[in-house]
Amino acid sequence: MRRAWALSLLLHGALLALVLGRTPAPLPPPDPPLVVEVDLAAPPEPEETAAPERAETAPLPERVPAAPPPEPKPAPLPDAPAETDRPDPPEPQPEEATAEPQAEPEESAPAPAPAPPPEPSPATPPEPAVRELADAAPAESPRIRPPRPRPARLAQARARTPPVPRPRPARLAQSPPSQPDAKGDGPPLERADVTSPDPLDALLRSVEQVDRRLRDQERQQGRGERAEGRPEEGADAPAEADAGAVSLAELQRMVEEQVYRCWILPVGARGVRGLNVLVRFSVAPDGTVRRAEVVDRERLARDPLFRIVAESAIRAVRRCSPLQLPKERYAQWRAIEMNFDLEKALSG
Amino acid sequence: MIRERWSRRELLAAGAAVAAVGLSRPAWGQLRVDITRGRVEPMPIAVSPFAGDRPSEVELGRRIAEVVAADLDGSGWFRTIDPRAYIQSPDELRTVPRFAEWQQIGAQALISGVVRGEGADGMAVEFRLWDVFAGSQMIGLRLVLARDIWRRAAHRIADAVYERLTGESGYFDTRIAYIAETGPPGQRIKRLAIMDQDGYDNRYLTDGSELVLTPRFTPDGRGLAYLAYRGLVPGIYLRDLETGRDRPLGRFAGMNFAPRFAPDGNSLLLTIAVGGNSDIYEYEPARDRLVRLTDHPAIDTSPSYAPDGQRIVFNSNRGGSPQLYVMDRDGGNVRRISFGDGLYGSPVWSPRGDVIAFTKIRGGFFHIGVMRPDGGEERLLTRSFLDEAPSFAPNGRLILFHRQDPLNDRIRLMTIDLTGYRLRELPTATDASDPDWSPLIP
Repeated sequence: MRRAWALSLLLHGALLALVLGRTPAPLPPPDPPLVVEVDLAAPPEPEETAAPERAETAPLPERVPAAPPPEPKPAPLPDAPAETDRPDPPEPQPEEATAEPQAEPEESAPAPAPAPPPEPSPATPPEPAVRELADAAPAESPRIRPPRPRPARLAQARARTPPVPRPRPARLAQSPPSQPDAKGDGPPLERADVTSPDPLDALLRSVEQVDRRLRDQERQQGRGERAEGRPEEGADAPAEADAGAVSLAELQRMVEEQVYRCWILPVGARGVRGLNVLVRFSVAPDGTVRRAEVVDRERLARDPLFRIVAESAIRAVRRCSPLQLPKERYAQWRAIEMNFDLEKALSG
Repeated sequence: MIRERWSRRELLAAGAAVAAVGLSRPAWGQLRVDITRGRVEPMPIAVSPFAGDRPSEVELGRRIAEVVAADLDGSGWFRTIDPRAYIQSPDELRTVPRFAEWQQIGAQALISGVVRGEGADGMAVEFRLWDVFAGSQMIGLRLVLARDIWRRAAHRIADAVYERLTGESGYFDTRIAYIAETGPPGQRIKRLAIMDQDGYDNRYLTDGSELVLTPRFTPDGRGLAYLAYRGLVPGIYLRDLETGRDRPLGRFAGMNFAPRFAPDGNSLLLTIAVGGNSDIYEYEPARDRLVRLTDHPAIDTSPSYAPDGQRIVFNSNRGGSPQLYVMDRDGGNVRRISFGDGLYGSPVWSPRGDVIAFTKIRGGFFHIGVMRPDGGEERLLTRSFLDEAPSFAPNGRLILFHRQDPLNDRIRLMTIDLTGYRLRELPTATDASDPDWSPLIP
């Protein structure tokens, strides 16, 4: 009896040891009680009771900014009344805050960002946060290392490069500006479908295509600087000069030149390819973009990808506001319809 | 989260408003402009530390925001703005932000939040995503969870933001399994390891006493299949990640490599070599049913299911050199899809079905590349001395693989996104190989 008991103990012990040995580090349950509760409405904003859907559907609240853009005071409430009503030093009353549904600040008038004219992202820290791997294998890396997007640099580079009226060079400029000469001596290029029908893919990187693109880009830039002279000045000049000299086509080009620099293409999702969004803007005499309206509201309401593209478009124009356009021609640009053509933007 | 249904009345009202506008103003489209270019760059986003009433909550709020920011930065689609530039405090952000101030620092979107302790070890995290230029809230969500898994709350928040702003599902609340390697060459100790997608919470699941290879998550993310040599015959084991228990899935005469699950989780693809000839088999553990799918004197290996489970891509040298082939699930209709020069291997089908990733060897270099399932549009995303073992993130936008450095022999984990621009190292404590990316954690 006693022996049997001892044996049993021994065997159980062995079994236990076996089991423990097998599983050195049991994990805690991978699905702990993580409860996603309800959506939250925006914090209090008393007077705004307009259809809450607008907050989602129309990414564009009507903004009626005071004509002279108030200088950026860090002091609270430089903004419209909508915000003054709010308990700004908020007493801890968050339950209410979250409970009360409201639309977005319709009249919040966030003061046309005083500074962001065509030059995008001036205030942002120069350090691009796309932290890339420092380097690949030291030996090969100089050639292998994928060219980094380096957004800040790219922006500057683009800004410096005279904006050529045709989109081609711009697309090339988009390809990564990394040491092109370092790549020249790489292994021979490989077959790759450059003639992809897919516009997004045209933008994608293939290690061997990049080599080619960089060379093209170099050439284009070099040529651009020499040949184009200073089209920038040419474009801006009419703003101050004789209004009669500005043709409709020139007006269009001036708008396009400003807006495209502010438009971050929403290429994160595959499905956005081929999406076009038509947005109507009303513009104040000082160039401030006041109102935006996506023409296809029905699609805006049902198609999340379309909405993402529409939002990116409207964000771009807001970011470029105020637009620099010849005042004498205000009648012509007080209402602008912009067709954001993602398909073309991606295919160049 | 997204409420966009318009009532009939609202639609009519909107239509009337548009009509009225049309009448009272000069016609729209007086100036019509086509915007046919733009910029490909990360979206600048501000991630404010989350507010809290007690110091512990404030501290948690700061750390959560840091993890959210690191996730978004790491995706390559966002560039978080240095918090030192923020003008509004976390407490001020308990109400609607002063958007003009955020525009000034270049933010296009803003994340704010509040952390509240609940009970002894619970907490509630509320966060909001704001469109700074539209001045509107894009997301408002509240998560309730145990305090000690606050990192998961942060990953979930990052997933929600990523999804809302890019239109793709997120991948931050996920794990990565890999083989941790230590010791000198020839005496490598290999352990099964698992960690969060961002490298945190690293754990070893085996003790290194046996050789382990090729971890693969089950499609539900709750289990991990791997190959282990216990004795001379390798077997496939399934580790239950909740209980920590191992269950043998099967032992097979002959070598076998790289088990891979069908999307429904009910069967596995194996490579079994008999008499030196490798062929592909499908194994159904529940019924202990083994079906041979290829029967060819050449080496057939590295099978991977399409996400619909109806086709299989694999590697074979039946054409004279290792190339990629696709066949139906029953083994019929075999066709070659890779035709470039060079050698192809390790194909894996994207969970989205749109591309197949592979390793390519050519001109002394290894590449990770992708091609369409019909073989078109091949693109090579990386190039190095040795890149191997691609595995997709659950949203199909990133590929995880290992890279060996010829100088010091270190093996590291790397990710590259499908655009090919964003190559990053995923730091691990030891050398790491054979990675597999989990689905989103349930």
